[in-house]
Amino acid sequence: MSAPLVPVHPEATDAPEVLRWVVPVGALGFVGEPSRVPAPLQDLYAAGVLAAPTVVEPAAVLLRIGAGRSWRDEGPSVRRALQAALARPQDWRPPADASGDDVLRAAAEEVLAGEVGDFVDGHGGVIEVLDVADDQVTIQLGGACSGCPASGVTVQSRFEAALRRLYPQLRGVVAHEAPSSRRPRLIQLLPTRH
Amino acid sequence: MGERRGAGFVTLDSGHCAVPGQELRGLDEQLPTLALVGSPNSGKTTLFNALTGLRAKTGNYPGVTVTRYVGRVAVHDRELTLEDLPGTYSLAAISPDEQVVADVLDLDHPTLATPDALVVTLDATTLRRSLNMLAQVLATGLPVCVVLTFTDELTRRQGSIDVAAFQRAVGVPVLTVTSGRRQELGPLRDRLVDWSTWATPALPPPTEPAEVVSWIESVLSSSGYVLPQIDRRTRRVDAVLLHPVWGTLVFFAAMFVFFQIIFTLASPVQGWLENLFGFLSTQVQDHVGNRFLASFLADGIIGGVGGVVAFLPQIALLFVLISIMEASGYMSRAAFLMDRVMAKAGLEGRAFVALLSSLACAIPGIMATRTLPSMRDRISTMMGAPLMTCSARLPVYVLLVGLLVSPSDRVGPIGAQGVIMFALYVVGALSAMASAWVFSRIGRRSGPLLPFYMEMPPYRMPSARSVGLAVWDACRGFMRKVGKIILATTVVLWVLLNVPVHSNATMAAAGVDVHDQAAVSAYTIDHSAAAAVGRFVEPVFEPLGFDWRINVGILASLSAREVFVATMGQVAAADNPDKPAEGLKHLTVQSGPRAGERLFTPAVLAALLVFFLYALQCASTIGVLRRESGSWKWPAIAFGYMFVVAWTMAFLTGLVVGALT
Amino acid sequence: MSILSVATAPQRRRARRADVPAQSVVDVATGATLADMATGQSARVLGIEAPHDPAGARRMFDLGFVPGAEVRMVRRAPLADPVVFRVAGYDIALRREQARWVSVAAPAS
Repeated sequence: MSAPLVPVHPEATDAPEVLRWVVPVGALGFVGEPSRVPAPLQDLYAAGVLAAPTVVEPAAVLLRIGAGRSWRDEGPSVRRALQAALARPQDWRPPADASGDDVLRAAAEEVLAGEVGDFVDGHGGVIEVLDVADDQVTIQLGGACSGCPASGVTVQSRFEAALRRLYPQLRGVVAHEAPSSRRPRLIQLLPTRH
Repeated sequence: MGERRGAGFVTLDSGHCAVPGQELRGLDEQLPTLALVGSPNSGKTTLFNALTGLRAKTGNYPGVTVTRYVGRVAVHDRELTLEDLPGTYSLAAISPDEQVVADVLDLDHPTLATPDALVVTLDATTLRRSLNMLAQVLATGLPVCVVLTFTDELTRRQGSIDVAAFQRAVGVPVLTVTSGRRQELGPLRDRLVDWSTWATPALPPPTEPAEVVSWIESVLSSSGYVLPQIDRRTRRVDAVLLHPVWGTLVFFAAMFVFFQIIFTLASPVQGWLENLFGFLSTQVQDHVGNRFLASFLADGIIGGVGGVVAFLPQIALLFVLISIMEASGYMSRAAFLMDRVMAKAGLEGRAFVALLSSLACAIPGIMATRTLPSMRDRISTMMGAPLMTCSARLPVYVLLVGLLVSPSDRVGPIGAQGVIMFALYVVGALSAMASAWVFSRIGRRSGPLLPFYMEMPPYRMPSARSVGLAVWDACRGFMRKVGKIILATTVVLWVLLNVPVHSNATMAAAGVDVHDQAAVSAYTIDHSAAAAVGRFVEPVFEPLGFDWRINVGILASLSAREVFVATMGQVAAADNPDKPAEGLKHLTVQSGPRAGERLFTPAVLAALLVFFLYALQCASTIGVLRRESGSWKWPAIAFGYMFVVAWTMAFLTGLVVGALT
Repeated sequence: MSILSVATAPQRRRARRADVPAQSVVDVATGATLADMATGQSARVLGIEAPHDPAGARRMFDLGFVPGAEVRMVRRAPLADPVVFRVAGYDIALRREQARWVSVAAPAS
């Protein structure tokens, strides 16, 4: 029997033509718009079933259905193509401007945008990513989180756990507390280039 | 979608066709209909009961003997209909129950209406398996809401799941329910009425086997699903209950207790009911002037109704025990232990409980075959169950054995009476198994064997409400369907035994003392329509040594076996018809080659015993067979084959005993 | 039944019913089956083969005996049949006949 199929499943996004196909963590090793995809997906682009852009996330691939097509009709063939493509990770090419820390940064952003971010906001805290390098993330906790040792530990461990799910080779998360006199800064989402 | 399809069908704007409502009164086609889908043991029926309670109406799905449960759910000022579909592991059906689910979910089905939306119960502890069915249900395209059950058990067993992530992954609303208590169901009820707003997946999951496995894997992984540890409590209990030695011992002890409860606990209640009806009967006889009418009301009607009601304590008790056994999870353990033995009779482990219950009375035993998923197994068990020595045979056995051997006779150190009684029980049980085996072989031609598999769920606390509802449902069904048949038979037999009516003058002229109740009833019976029938069928029973009077007894006991004793008592003009032994001893054959000899020779007694062992002398059994099998065909077959076997075995027994004595 | 193209919501879709034939799950592997497992042993499902009973094979799949699934033999009944297996997170009793349909191999390391 051939190797088992790569586990994938689609989730809805805000845009009905875009589906977020959840794929195994680390399946592709890069994020952003790939500069090349394997043949099964290429064929679908060529046939107009899929439209650009395709965006790779730490644990998902965003695919857009072609104009005039529907996911109901084309979904099964897209799924099969995606699974076939994921079975050949070597045939994907990352975006030209990719760098090593991109995946971890994207994963950190995803965590902040998800439940951990909601949790922090709900408690009146502020969390921002200061640095992403070498499989390690440095975060800063502010707002209600600063000055409260318990919340700091909770937030950090939650953040780390969620981040590790998206990026298993994470070495660690370092947390700093914002000096309480400082006004809370907006959460930094854009990558800082050094 | 706008045609009228004939009487009973109404088409609604949405193209939704309603179902003929003969069986289901009160089904309002204007209300939205939701259906509960889920595998057995997923907490589906508990949820249904909690949402609908006593407002569930039952009927049948058209064309099959699968019970249909439909109820109303009221949420604030809105109402909807909720249907509890049979539990199934897959929409690829292999039994009639499961086919019903597949048919109801089939939008193109010609007669069954498809619900507006589905509520799928998934057991959080068996999610890997349950998601397979969710994929099939989602593929139908109907709006779906998932209810995750046993999430508390999942946590208790060190499992976990991120419900929000799971909801994102499957693309439909997901709610959790732990105990099904009324208060907890508020959010679910609110969600139900908003069924038209439920999110649907952008893309239904795949159904092709390899693809659906990958889908399940992906969903579970992104939901952070941690498989629960093996339930410690269940493992520890099973270490005993399924132990080859201890488990079997516990099992037999449990069955003994089960049987005793049905036999002995029900008796006082039955006695009380019989007294009540006896009292009513006496009242009628005292206050109704016309003797004929009084007797008709007292013995025919009240006697008939009383006969029906008398079964209720046993049925209720049996279903309490069976429901508890099923809901707690012990039933599958019992079936597991007995399966090999039952397999020899072409049945499966669960049939054991039905056969065991038949030792008390075949009626609840036959009703208990509902626990068998295979229709073929159900029929085979039903055909064999009446051969188990039921409690109604006991008065007959006691009478006849008492005439056959005296209490002081011994076989070795053991009393002969006890030995014969035990032998009768054993032969009954073996015959029941043999009969089931024959029918399962015959049934084999009608289709492939159902693969045997049985889930062994963790031990769980049964819900009192579900047990109560199961009992109520069983009793109500029995009263409505079977009750009619029993009552009709009782009335017919009463007429046969009491008509034609004789005036006092006629009887006096024949030398009967009209003040001697026993003599009067003896005369009435002797000249009744039943006696005419008895004489008419004499040639049939001649080889067995039965004369027309025994035939009358057999005819009368068609309504219920124990009636044989009283009827024979009346025939013999016994002073106490309930203890007719003395009277019967002195009966002599009236005509033919044996004229003048004692009627009840050992050969005749033995033949009569064996006849009662095998013959289907019970209108109630026929009624229940009709109800549970769905047609008159099976009761007719049962009656026919048992009569032939009874006659043959009685004949052979008579020969053998006659040669020995 | 065929899959109709998308129309406006809230119309219901017609969808294909779940396929029954067992061919796609069959993995003809000679060797051990569930029936050969010893008490306490674990194995990995290779495939299901039930040539005379495709519906039965499909049922085994629906019960969780999917290729790649981990199975453990839990206990035998006193008279050697049926046998309880643990698969997909639950316990299920199978007769020898059904157990023979499912071929297994040593668990993945």
